[in-house]
Amino acid sequence: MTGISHKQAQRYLRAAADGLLRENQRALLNTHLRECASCHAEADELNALEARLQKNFQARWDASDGPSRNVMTTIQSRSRRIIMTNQINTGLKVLGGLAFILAIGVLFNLLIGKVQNPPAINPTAEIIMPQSVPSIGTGKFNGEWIAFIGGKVVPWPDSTALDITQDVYLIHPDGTGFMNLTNNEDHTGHLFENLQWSPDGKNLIFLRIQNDKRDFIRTNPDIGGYSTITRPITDPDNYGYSWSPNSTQIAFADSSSGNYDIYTEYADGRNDPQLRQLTNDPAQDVGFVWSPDGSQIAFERLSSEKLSIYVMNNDGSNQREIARGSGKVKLLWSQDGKSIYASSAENSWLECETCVATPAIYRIDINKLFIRQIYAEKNISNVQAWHLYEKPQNTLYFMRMDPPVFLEFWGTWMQTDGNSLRSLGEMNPHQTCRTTAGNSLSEYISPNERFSIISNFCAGGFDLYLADREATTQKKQITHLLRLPISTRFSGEGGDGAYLPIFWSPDGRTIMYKGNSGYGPVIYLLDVEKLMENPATKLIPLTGTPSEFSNSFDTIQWFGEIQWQPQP
Amino acid sequence: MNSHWLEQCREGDSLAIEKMVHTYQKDVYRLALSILEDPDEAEDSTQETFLAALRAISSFREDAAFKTWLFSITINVCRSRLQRGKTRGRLQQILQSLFHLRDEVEHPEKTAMQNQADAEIWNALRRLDEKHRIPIVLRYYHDLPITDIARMLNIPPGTVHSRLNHAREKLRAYLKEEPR
Repeated sequence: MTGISHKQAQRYLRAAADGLLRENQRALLNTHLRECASCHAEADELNALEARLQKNFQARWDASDGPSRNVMTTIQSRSRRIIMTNQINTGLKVLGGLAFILAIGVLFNLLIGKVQNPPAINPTAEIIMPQSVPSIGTGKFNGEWIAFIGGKVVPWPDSTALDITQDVYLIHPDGTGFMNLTNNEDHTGHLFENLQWSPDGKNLIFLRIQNDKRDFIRTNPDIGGYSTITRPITDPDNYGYSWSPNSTQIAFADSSSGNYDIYTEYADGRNDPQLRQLTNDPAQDVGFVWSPDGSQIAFERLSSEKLSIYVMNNDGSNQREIARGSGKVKLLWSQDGKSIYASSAENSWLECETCVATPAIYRIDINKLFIRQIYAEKNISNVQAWHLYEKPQNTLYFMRMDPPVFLEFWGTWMQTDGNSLRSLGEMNPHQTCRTTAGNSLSEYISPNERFSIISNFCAGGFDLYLADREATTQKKQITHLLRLPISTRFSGEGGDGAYLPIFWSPDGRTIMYKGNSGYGPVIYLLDVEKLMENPATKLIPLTGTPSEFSNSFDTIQWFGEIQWQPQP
Repeated sequence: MNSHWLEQCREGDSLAIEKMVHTYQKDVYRLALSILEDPDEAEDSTQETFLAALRAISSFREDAAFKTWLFSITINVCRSRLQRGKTRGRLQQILQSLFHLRDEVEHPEKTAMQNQADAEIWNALRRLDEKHRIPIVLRYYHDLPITDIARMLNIPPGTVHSRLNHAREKLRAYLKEEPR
């Protein structure tokens, strides 16, 4: 079959009818139609309807010659009076404008007078200087464990071929207490992903994947061991799962029944996990997000290209539609739990009276059911991704990540209080690396959402920067931290578009990344706050093969996700 | 319509105004007729549209096409007439029930169905609400692009697209219901 699905072909058909299809999309559609009889029939039916409408409309109205001569006579007789009224109105407006300018002039004179004679400064008043190095901590604490996914190269049984088996490991931040949780050395074919500590740090969950079935595995490092929670789920589109804010339940989307529905289950270790199906609709119920107090869950209901956003209680009751639109959006609850933000990309939008259908940020008041488009990007091709973060006092930060021009990612930080919008500055790869094209910015937001680590692959190495969205000057907005050689990546691959995944500690002071000591792969810890105070601050290798001296971890030859345990 | 001509209209030049009306009256009238389906109402709406345009001509910005601007005025005029028509229709229903008045003879325009196929599509179209019928007429009779329809109706292009999709689906369903 061709490169597009039937669903996509139908979307393209409708877009073609409205003249919205691009050339490349038209070529894909035509190829699909040649091979798919049912879509071809659908296209024929649509064309027949369009032809019938045009023919009937023309037959009905083309015969009319237009209005009678009376219309012209009436307009001519009344136009002189209308134009005269217009001219009088214009004159009045000009007079009003002059009066306004005069009033502004008087006010300006008064202000100038005040500036020229400023009030005396109290010499004893304390002058607070902004700190040159901001504290980047979150006020949270780091737990005792770091979990990570690692891989070992092992021979296939009865074969000379090699394979990588994955496992989930735990280790203390000082490098002690190393343990392999899953001991997957017997070629079971399991893969692991999506490590998530509960917000209270007591339980760690990850997904064990085999043959498209995903099991939720729970472990408590203080007790040891691990267990599956309930039955495996089907999640081909990888919607994952999400902890409830009170650390008792997880929400997830499962398509075992043929379409996605939303479920919850207790994942805090109690005997009965109480698996509960919250939605049951033939559409795809996905995109679940817990409200800040955990009492409600927002989700998207997708049916063909139709989108509905719903809110329900955490037991599935009181499901109510709060917005409609098309395509997929990303949802974020406001901190007060009264609103939901939605960000849309190309080909997705929400309907509201004043909304325009371009990539946009929306705020939905869930009680008043009022939708406001707080930012709309006019140039559709400008937006690759949004990242939204809400702060207290209804302030929303978001980043518009522009699409790459041959791997040059650009981004713009913006801040809005819902009424006005302020651009905080541009993240431009040439600001940080002027030597080559083809550099690639990646951003990793700190747990307090004010800071980010920007990793820019540039001229054969990685430059790490700290970005501060609340910097007092644009100069302080991006601080260069250090430069790492391309060999930092264990695979040793260079080339345009290389990236270095970064993971933050819960206290927001330390970053972790997967590097290469020269002897093998290593997880490094870097205290960013200390580095800003003292550029000589060293990288700390956590685990792996930091030197030629073998240690107990030297057989791990690949690292995946890394997650540091939080401690409230 | 070029800016020189527009400037002359603004200044009240009767020849320029006559040329403006002459150029666009047929299009405006057909648009009104396609929405209102009544030649008398369409004629009144055409007149009302041009007078409203003259009153607002100083606010017309030349970043939009003059015809698009004129069409959006026409649609607003027709919509308020439809609204008034609904109120009048309700009043008529009340009077009919009180005095047992017979229904008015249908307008000849409405009865001039060319054939059964015409009747089917008209019946289907009439079953659409105004929100979905107007975009269909603008798209398939006036052959307007989505962006122009969006400007005229003052809604996002995506909403126009979604209304057209909805209308087409409904029309297909209605036509399948009716035996040919």
